[in-house]
Amino acid sequence: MVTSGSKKSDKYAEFTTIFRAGLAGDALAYNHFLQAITPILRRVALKKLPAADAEDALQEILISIHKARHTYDGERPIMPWLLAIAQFRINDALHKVYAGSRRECMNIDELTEVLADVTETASAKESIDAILKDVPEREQRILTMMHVEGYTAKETGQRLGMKETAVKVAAHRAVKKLRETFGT
Amino acid sequence: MNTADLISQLSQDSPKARLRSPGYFGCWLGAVLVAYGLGAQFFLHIRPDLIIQLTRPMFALEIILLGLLIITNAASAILAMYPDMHQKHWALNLPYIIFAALIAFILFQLMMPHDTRMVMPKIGSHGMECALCIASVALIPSALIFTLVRKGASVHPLRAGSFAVLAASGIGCLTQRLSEANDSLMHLTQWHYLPTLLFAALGALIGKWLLKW
Repeated sequence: MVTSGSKKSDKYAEFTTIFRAGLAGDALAYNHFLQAITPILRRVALKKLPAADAEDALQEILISIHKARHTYDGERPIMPWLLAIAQFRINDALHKVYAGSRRECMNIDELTEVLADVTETASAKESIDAILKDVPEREQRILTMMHVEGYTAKETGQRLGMKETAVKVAAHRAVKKLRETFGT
Repeated sequence: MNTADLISQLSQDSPKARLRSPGYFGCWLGAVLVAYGLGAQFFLHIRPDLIIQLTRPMFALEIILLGLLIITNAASAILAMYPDMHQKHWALNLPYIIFAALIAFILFQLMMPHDTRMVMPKIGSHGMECALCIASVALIPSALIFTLVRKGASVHPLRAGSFAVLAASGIGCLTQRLSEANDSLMHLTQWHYLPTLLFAALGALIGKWLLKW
């Protein structure tokens, strides 16, 4: 019975064989070697890097393996040699990822929705309700619509079934009452 | 470019000459460093009391540790040429062990109450000259080892750089120690071993920049 360990070592022995053939000048064997190790290296890169950066890192690793191919003699196990190069290039990629994240800045437009949510938070609404508690209910509604929800006097009148001037007068009275209450 | 295209392109590249074994580089570098060390010693002259000093265990041990420092650092620099350290990772810890042993040896001597070597240097005696002499002697071997390490593909450029400079500074220290008739431990610590440590740190920085690939 063949164990998974011996299967793995057989596969790595095959890597060594085709890599040695590639180093001797067999371009096809070298192509097979690079294709065979690519899925393994991709998995290693994906473990350490975000998916968007992993493919770039994989290509860097393949180029580095190609550049360093003269440092492998075919006599010692190949996987430690491959993984040392892979780890070296992944560390480089991680440096770039972290350096990039430190420099990254956010466009203020992307925050529009977040900022809108902030104005609608429960605590803000509660504090406005507390201020308006002594104002009649209809004037509370007018002030809320005009100064919190952003409606114009005309739009507020249309929604509440009032004339624009009546809305303005009611809003003016409500503000006057609040000023008296808070002594400003 | 996608990965499949890259693989096709890399496959078309002609094979590169294989790097020789660490044993070959070790023998070659060892011979060159010995020849260089002898030349530097001839230029700096030998201290008049060298034979007497060599009969003292402390001096002999210091010389042996310096020799080991050179050998282990040169060997580690050679192993660092290979991305997998030629699968002898343990060897890369030897320079640190030897350097720590050298420091411990110096500290041990400093704690000895009546060691005749523990004399303060005379006022006006030289100091900086020693550090400069070590640096001058180390310059050529450093360049040589860096050139050698650049032939490989080091994945530890900082360590490889410090090994290269420490091996070369070790030669400087050894030749200086065999030529200068000053056994003050204060002097040795201040103007021989501390500068060597600084040179190693500098070597690490140079290695990071010079051993990129």
